[in-house]
Amino acid sequence: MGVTKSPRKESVAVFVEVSGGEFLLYRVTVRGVRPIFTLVDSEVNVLLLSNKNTPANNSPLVYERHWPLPADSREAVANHTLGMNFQAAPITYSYVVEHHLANGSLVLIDDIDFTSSTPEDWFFQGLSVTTD
Amino acid sequence: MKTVLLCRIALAAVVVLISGRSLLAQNENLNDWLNGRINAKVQAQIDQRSNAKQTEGPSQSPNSTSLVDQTSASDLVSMALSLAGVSGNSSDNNSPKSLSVTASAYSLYALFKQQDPLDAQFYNDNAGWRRFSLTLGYDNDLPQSGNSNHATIAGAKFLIVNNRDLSSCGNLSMGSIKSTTRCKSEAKLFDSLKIASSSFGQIELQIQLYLLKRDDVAATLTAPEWKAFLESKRAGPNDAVVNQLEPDSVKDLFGPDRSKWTRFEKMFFVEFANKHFDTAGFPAILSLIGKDGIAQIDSVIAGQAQAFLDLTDSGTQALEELRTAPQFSVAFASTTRPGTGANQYVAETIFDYGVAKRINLSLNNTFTYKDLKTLGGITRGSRFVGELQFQLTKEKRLTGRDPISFDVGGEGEWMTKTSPTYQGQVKVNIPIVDGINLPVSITFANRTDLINERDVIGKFGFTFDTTKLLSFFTKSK
Repeated sequence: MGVTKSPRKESVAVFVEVSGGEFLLYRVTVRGVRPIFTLVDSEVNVLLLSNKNTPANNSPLVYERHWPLPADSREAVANHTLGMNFQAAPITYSYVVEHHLANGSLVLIDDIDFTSSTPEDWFFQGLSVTTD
Repeated sequence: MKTVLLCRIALAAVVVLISGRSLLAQNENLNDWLNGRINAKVQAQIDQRSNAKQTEGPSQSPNSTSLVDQTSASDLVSMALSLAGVSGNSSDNNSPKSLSVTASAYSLYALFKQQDPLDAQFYNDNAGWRRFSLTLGYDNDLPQSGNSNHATIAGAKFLIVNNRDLSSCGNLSMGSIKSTTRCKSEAKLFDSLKIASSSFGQIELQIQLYLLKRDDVAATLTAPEWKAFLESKRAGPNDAVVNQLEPDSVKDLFGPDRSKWTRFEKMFFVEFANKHFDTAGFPAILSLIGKDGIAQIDSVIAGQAQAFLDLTDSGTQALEELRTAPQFSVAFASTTRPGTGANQYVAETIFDYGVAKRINLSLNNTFTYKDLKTLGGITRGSRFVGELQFQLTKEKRLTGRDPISFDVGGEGEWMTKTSPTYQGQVKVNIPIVDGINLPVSITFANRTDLINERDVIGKFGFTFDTTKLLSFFTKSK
């Protein structure tokens, strides 16, 4: 596997007090062409964000997702997993997860670059999420 | 004495290797270790790469190392340099040389727009511009041709059917012909990735909970830390909850129905996971659970392995369809010489097709118009060329250093007022570094243009592909 993972900040799990107004912000920035990625809630098997979403920014390509949205089903304990494919290698996915607190401040949960030059590569980055 | 010394060196090497392996394991968290573990279970068997982007000079150049043209050019700019020829004919004292530069309209458009040509959005949005390329160059005529001047080569190529562009399933701004099969493969790859992502998340969570409650981990880590956690919460309104939870053993907590977990169980789980499943803590967990624990984890992975096998299969299929998809282009090229030198104009159709894994077939059919600039010196005719390109080495990258390839080709040319010419060529393309190749070819001919005798010419040169060079330097930053 040729994926180079460069974490600036990495967490395994996060507790989100959704009832208190807290939320997560997922951001995937792509450097390279033709990204293929999926961010899923594995507990409910629902796609949260993917390369098929409308990007928040086009140059560079940035995809963003707030969680939870009103329509999201929310499990007490879940795992949100980002799956990345590198078919159009070389490509770099920069993955940022921010925990926005009720008082408006934020805590950086994940800030990781994933780079590969091998088109058959894939990589998964999971985050266990518990909510009140 | 010498044997003892050698044994000691070997032993030291083994120790270094073993300690190196364990060090690598110590730098992994649960997430990365799982990725490696899952990846080890699936066999990635994709080893083709794009082999239809021509970086050599046009085939009509007498000094080109290529007998056949290919449907598409480099995404940006490529340069071909033929350094020397070695001929079996003793009259070839002077080494012929040629230089040609091919630029895609995309590279010129990016330059005009002052955009980074490798920017994802710009690359995807302007795929149509990569269908058109221009070539300019010069040729030192072969001595036996009777021409003493430099020939100027100019040409253009338009890719009509383009199924090997990564963005051909996206939105194209110019003349899009979508490959339905390939787009379906890409959609299947996306679906497989989604399913595998979900499977990975389920595996990871299942393993986290398994480790949290496993007897040896619970006794050593979970139980004492849970006790300490509860004590830290014993204040004010939480007191009653703590008293209620305190008698429960770890076995009774963190049950399979996670909707029944208390707020403290959720908070503790996050605290425990961040402490023991990260890079610093996970190696200790692995040591604690030993081979038995790892076997249990492997059985959890095996239960969901199909999702990752499907993902690999979908990726393989999508890549192979990308690399073997048929392409068709038309080209026009002129070779002009000052004074009495002959001019030549060629219209050409080019077809590329991946006939098998790592074997590409290129076919050219041309109409040639040659003006010798003498009375009655106009000849017309047709040329048909076929070449099979065999990729000899397994190369797992679309970009980066090319694989070594071995090409076998044949050509027949039928012009008015001259006897037919038949040529055969074998060529080896040797990658030097990312984006720079050394093609070496040997051509056999029943006759050359002006000398009616058998000839064998060896040629070599260098090709430069700026797309790969740029990618290499971007990657190195």
